[in-house]
Amino acid sequence: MNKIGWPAWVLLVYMGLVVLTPLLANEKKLIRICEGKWSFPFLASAREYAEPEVCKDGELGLAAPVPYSPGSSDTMNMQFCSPFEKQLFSRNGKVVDMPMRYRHWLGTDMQGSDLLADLLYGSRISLFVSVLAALVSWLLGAVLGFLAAWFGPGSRKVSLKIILPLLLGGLLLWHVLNNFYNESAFYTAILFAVLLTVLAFIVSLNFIHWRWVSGSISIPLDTAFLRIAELFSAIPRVVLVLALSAVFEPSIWSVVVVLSLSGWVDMGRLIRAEVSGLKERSYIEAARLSGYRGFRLFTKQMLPNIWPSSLVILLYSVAGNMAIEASLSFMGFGLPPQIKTIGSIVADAKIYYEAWWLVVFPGLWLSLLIFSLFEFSRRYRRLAPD
Amino acid sequence: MKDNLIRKLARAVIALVLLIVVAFVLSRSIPGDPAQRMMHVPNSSQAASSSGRLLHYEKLYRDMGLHLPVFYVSMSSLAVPDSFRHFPDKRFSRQLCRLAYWSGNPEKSLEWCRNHLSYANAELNLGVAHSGAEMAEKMEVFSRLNPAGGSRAQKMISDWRQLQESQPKTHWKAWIPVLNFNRENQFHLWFFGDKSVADDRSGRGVLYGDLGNSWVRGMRVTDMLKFPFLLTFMIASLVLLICFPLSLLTGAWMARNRNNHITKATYAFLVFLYAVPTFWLGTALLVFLASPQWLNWFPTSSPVLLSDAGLMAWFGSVFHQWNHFVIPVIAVAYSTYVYLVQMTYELLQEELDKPYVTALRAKGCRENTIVFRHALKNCLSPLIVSTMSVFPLLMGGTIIVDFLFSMPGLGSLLSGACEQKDFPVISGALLLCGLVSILSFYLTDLLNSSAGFDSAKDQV
Repeated sequence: MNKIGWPAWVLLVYMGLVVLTPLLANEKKLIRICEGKWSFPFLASAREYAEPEVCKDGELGLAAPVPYSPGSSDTMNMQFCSPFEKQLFSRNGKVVDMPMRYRHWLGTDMQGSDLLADLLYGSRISLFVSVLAALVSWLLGAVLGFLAAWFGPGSRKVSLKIILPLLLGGLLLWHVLNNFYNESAFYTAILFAVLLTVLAFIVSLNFIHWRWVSGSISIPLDTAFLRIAELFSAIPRVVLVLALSAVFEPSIWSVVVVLSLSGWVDMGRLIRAEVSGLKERSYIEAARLSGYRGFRLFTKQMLPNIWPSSLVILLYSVAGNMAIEASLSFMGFGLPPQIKTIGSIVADAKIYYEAWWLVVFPGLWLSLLIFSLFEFSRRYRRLAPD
Repeated sequence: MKDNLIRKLARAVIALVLLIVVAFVLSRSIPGDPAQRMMHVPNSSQAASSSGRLLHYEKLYRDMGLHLPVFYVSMSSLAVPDSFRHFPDKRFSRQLCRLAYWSGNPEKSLEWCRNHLSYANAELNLGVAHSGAEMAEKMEVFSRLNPAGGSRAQKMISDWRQLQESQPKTHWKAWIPVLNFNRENQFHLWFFGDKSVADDRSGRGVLYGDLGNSWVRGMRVTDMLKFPFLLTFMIASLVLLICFPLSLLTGAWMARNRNNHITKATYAFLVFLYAVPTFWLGTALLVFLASPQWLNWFPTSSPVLLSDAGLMAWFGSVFHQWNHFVIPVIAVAYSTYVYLVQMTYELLQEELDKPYVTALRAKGCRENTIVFRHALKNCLSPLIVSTMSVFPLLMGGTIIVDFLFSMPGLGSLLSGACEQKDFPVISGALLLCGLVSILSFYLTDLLNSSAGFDSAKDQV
C-alpha cells in the first residue's frame, strides 16, 4: 500500500464511504433509546418506517453525520447553497436559522435534497454498476481472448472427423430451436437432436474410412477474434452504448449488460496478447510434458501470470465505465430517472446554471475518483514489471 | 508491397462486412413490429376506416419486405415452409404453423386456413388450442356435436377430413430439416435495394446510400443524417488537426526539459486533466463561460444551421456562427490533447536514450535540433497510428458535447432517436460512424506502410 501511495488511500476511503453510506447519510436516526428500549430505525425499509411516537420522557438518539437521505425534499431550503447563503430550518413548526448540525454543507438542488447525501449514494450505485460491468466484461474478454490465443495464431487444424458431426449437430439444434420452440414436442426434439449428433460422432470416428475425403480444416479463431475486436473498437463506444440501451428498458441490469458488451474488447486483446506470449515459454512446455493439461494448466500455470496485468486493466476499465455511465445518465438514458446519479445531478445543473455548486462538487468528486483509479493502475503496473 | 496492400484491403473489407451485419441485426432487433411503427408516421396516407387501415398495414408490410425470410440461409422443415412464419397477421401465422406441423400437408393447411380459419375461430374458439392436436380434438368435438350444421360448417368439416391423413401428435415430416437458400430475403432487400419498387420514398438499398426511412418522422434516414453527421465529423477532424501539432510540440518541449520543475508540474496537471470526464468539463465551461450569470463571453444558444439550402449555405452558416463552436471544440479537444502529449512524452523519453542521440550531442548538435528535428521524426510513425486509433473515442466525445451544447449534430439526433426507439436512424448512425472509423484505420495502415520516414536514414 505504501508503495503505491496516495491513490491507495483515496480508494480505501472511498470504499469505506461506499460501504458505510446508510450509516453516514440517513434521515432516520441510527440509534434511538426511548424509555430504556433500544431501536435502530435506520435499518427499517421505507415501507415499514413510520414516524416514531414521541417519547414521554424525551429520547436519546444518535443521528447520522449527514442527517438527510438522498432524494428527500427539504422544503425550507430549495435551491440554496453552501456556506455563502443563509439556510433555514423548521423546528417544531417555527422557522429559525439553520443550526450547524443540520446544515447543508454542499448545498441543495431544486427539490431541496442535500447534495452531500446525493453524492454519496450516487457514487455507491455508480461504483456497483461499474465494477460489476468490468468483471463481466473481463470474463467475456478472458474467455474469448484465451480461446483465440490458444487456438492460434495462424490456426489450429481440426480434422474433418470431428467437424462434420459437430456441424450436423449444430444444424439439428438450430432446426429444433427454430421450429419446435413452442410445441409440445420440444424436449423430445432436443433429445432427438442430441442422439443423432452422438450417433454421427460414433459413426464418423469409427466406421467411415476417411481416406478419400480426409483432411482437416483450419479454424482461424485468432483472426476472427481480431477482426471482431477491430470492429467493436471502430464503432465509438458512446454510439454502441446508446444503440444497445435503446433495445433494453432502463434498469440497473440493462446498464451493466450494455457497459460490459461494449467494453470487453480491451480486456480480450490484452489477455490474448498475454496468453500467446506465455504459450511459447518453456515452463509451459515443461508443464505440459509433465502432464498438466487443459484446465489445470490454465489455473495453475497461466492464471498467476495473467493476474497482474488483468488487475491493471480491470481498474482502468472500472474508471472508464464510471465515466461512460455518468455520461449516459447525463443524457437521460441508463439508470431509471428516479435514481439520482452524478450524471443526473450535472444534467440538472445545466438547466439551472445559477447553482454553481451542482456543477463543481459532483465533477470534482467524480474526477478525483477516476484520477485515483488511473493512478493506482499506473503505479501498480510500474511496480510489477514483467 | 502489393501483397501487403491486398491483405490490408481484405482486412478492411471483412471489417466492413461485419459492420453491415451488426447494423442490420440492430435494425431488426426491436421488440415490436416495424410496420406497426410506420403506421403512425404522420405524412403517410392514413385511411380512416379500419379495413382501409388493415389494407394499408398489409401494403406496408409487403413493401418493407417483412414477409420475406430474414437471411440468405434459413432453416425450416418439410412440413412447414419458411413463408408460413412471415404473414402480416401473427395469429394467423401461428395457427397455420401449428396446423401444418400436425397434418404435414402445407398446401392443404394453407388452403383450409385461408378459407375457414376466421369462421372456426369465431365458432369454436379455435384460438385457444396450443397445438395442432388440440385443434384436431376441438374439430372432432364440433363435428360430433353438429352432425347436420349449416353448409358453411359442413364445408369446413369436410375440408378438415381431407386434411387429416393420420393421427400423430406431430407429423413425421416436421422432424426433417430443410435448408432453404433464399435469394429474396430481408437482408438482400435492405442492402441491395429493390429495383422494382424504387421510387422516391423507399428501396434503393444501403449499397447505394439509402438507409431506410425513419419510424418517427418518415423522412429518409440519409437526409436526416447528412448534415448532423457532417457537423460532428467536421468538429472531430478540426479537433484532430489542432491537437496533433500542438501536442507534438508540447510533448517535445516537455521531453527536452525533462528535469524541470515546471515540466513535472505540468505533467501532473495534464495527467489529472485526462481523468476529468468530457461531459462535466463541457458543462462547467458552459456554466462559467457562457451564461449570463458568470462570464458571458460566448453565446449560450445553439447555432442555427441552414440545412435546406445546400452544402455551401450550410458551410456559410457554420463559419458565420463560429463563436458558438469555440467552447465545444475546447471541451472535445482537451482529452485527445492530453493523451497525445502523454504518448509523445513517453515515446520521446525512450527515443532520447538511444545511442544515436549521444552521438549527435558529441558531434555538437544543439539540444533543440536533436529533440525537435531528429528524435521527433523517428517517433512520428507510432504517433500517427495511435492518433487514428483514438478517432472513434474522439467521435464519441464529440457526440456527447453535441448533446450537451444542443448543437444540431449527431449527438442530439442520436439521443432523440434512442428515446423514441427509432431504429433505422440508430443503425444508420452506427453504420456511418463505423464506416468512417474503418476507412481511417485503413488509410493509416496504408500511410504507415507505404510512405514513411525512413528511420534508418536519420540515425547518424
